[in-house]
Amino acid sequence: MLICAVCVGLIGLLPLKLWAAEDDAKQLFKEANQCYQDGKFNDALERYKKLESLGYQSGALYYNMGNTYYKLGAIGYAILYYERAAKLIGNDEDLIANLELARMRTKDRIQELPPFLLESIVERWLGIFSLTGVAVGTVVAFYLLMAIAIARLQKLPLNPTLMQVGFYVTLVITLFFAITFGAKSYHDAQRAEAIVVSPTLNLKSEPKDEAKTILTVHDGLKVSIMRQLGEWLEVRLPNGDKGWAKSTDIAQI
Amino acid sequence: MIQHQKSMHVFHRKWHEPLETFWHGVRCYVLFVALIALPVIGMAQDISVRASVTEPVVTVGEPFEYVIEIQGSVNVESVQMAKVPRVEKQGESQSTSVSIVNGKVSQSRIISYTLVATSEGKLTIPAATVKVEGKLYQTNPVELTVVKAAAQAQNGSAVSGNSYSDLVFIKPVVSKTKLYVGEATTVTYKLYERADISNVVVEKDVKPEGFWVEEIDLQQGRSSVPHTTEFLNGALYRVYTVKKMVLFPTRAGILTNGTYKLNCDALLTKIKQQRGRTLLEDFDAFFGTLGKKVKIDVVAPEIKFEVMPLPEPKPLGFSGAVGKYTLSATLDKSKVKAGQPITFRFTVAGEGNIAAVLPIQLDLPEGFEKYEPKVEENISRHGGVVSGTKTTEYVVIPRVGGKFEIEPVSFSFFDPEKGEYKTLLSPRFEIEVEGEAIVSAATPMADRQTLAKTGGDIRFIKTQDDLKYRPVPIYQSVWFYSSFLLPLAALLFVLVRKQQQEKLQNNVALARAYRASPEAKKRLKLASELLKQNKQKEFFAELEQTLVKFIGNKFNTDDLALTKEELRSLLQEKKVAPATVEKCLKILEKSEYYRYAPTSQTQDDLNAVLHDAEQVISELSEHPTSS
Repeated sequence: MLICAVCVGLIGLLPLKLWAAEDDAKQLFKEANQCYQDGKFNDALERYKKLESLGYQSGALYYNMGNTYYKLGAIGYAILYYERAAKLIGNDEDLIANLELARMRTKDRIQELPPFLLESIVERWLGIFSLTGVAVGTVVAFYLLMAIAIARLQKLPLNPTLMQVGFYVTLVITLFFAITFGAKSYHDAQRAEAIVVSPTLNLKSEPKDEAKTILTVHDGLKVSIMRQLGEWLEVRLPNGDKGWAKSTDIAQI
Repeated sequence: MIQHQKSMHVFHRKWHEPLETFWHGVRCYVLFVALIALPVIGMAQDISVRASVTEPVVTVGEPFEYVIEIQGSVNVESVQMAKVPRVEKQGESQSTSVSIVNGKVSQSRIISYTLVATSEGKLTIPAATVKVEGKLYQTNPVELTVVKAAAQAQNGSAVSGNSYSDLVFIKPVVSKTKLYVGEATTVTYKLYERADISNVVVEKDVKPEGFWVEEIDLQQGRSSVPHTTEFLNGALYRVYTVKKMVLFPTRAGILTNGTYKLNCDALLTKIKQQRGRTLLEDFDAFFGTLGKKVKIDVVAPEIKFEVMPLPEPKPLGFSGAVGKYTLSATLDKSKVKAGQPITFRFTVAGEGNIAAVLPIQLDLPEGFEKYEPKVEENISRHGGVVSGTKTTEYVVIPRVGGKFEIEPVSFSFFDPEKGEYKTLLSPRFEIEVEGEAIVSAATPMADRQTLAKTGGDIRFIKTQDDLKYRPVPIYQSVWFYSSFLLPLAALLFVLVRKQQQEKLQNNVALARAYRASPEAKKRLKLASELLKQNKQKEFFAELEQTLVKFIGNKFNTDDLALTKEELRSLLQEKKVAPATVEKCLKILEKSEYYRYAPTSQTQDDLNAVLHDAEQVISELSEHPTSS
């Protein structure tokens, strides 16, 4: 009885507490936006950062942080937050425009390696859908497939050819969504990308300070993280060059 | 090589013209200056006295010269010569020379006697006593060999270098004949002569193949070639350095530098003609215009060099520099504004094949614009040593702000003395570049156009506050995966039911037993309908059929063929309660009876029968199908 009561109490309390915190967060977000509008970018950034540190996320929050950093001249961080926003609201028009503008202000003009044809097709295909969309699609298609399957098992008086065709079409759609979902999840979870945030970063040939500098890159450059060794990260540039950088100089998206 | 020959040509001209003026000069000096100045100078010098003969091998009957040289003074009071057997004295001459070099006076007197040997064999001219400035000095005894005239005649007719090899010859002096590739070796050709040579012409110059040659300028701005004197094999020679060069082998193996051949005029019959000459002739002889001039070829043999390859492994960036070097590096500014030039200067200095030193390579971090380096070479051949500097100057323009470290440049060379490679490193430079870069010219035009189009500013912030508290990615959410359970459960349910149905269909007995009750109930309902319509016969027929079929179904037997007796035994066999069996049989009896009897029964009776039938069926239903 007691446990039950405690449970009920918790269930009753938890949403209330969350709602209260969420209201505060919304208020803070509004304040930050106002600061931005008034041109007090440092104040705005401070509030956005607080929101982030509290554990709040949203495409709008990251987008706004990107804007604030851009206004403050930190192109590396601006791109970092735009990229973070792109994970949530990748198809947003404003985001695409701002990200492009920020990238234009970076110093490195690195020729990207032409990707494999297959790879580029996969990238494009994955780029079309949002993860949520694919998830919903998978669930809906699965329900439909099950419904058709049950109907057929029950021998409901429906057109049998229509049912058969419908079953296979739904099966294909379900598989497509499921595979896309799996690929996208893997893609998102696996690909560790980072943005160079320090103004100039010397990529070393080995993970130590005395090592020879292979290449110097600047803030805003997107790199892939290959592996980590203590405080050193091996990164790969878009053109395929690799080098070691300290983890403080780059930030993972 | 063209350069080389040209310089040689210049060298000849310079060399043999002043040489003649020099002879004249000496004589004039003796004639005019020495005689006047003689009493004035002439003290305070170490005095040495030497005796020599011009030719250590002389021919019987041929005159030769016996020379007594008094160094340090010209005040010779008397010369006392012992009587030499088998030798006749034919004449005597004296010369005096005074020279002042760097304020230091050196004077000497040479007294030469013309002697003729009368018989062959070994000959020793004993020491002579010279009285100089009141003191007596002893010369050294001189040995010479007198040979037969006939033997000499052969050589004498052919005027070749051989016969005069003791008069004029070249001695090559090499500093090193076994050396590494790129290591310097100095070759000096010294011309020894004691025959008043003139018109020295280089007939065949050396041809060092596989060498890089650095010619040493012997004139060094002087108008005449200096000479030294040297005693060799008991004879006094004037020694001229006619050629000096530093060779740097460029490949390994046995290399030679070719022969070196000079041609000169020698006044060699001077002595012979001293007999009975006229005053005029004597005068001429005095000025060196008289006398039989003989062309002599002087040949220096080629020199062999054993050149060793440089040891492996060669260090990275080794360009072939051999010698002793130092590296210095300077940077004019360490703090600079972006876009302003800075200058790196790397200087390699030292001894060796400086021309083989390649410009220093400078690696710069990204963000620096580097221009082609300016390379200056400065080679000095002073003192027969090739040394110098090579400076590489880089003008660099930083384009981006920040602190940069310039990697040290390195320079490797081989030290032949120690036989090892050495690598010099410049210090590490730190540069602080201030300020943002000016828009680099490298920015593509297209980019700038897009910038212009968008007005160069970002779009405004978003105001929708769809904040999520620690959202879980959908692929990690429980809801997503659990949502699949519902349709799966439904499908499973349907499948299980369908399977059960199929099982029933497949198992007839089970199916009949399963179907028996509901079917019987259905038929009983039909029977009660018939009863309501007062159709007695149909009612009983239905009732009988229902009961028989039910039992057939229930116990999976052929229902149509069941007689009452069979039915009884079947029910008993299935261990149905005897009361139920009796009841069942009673109903069947009744229905049989009433089906064919015309008498009609009351409604209540019929109802009772129906009720009985229901009871029997329900009782039988509960009975296990098989026991």
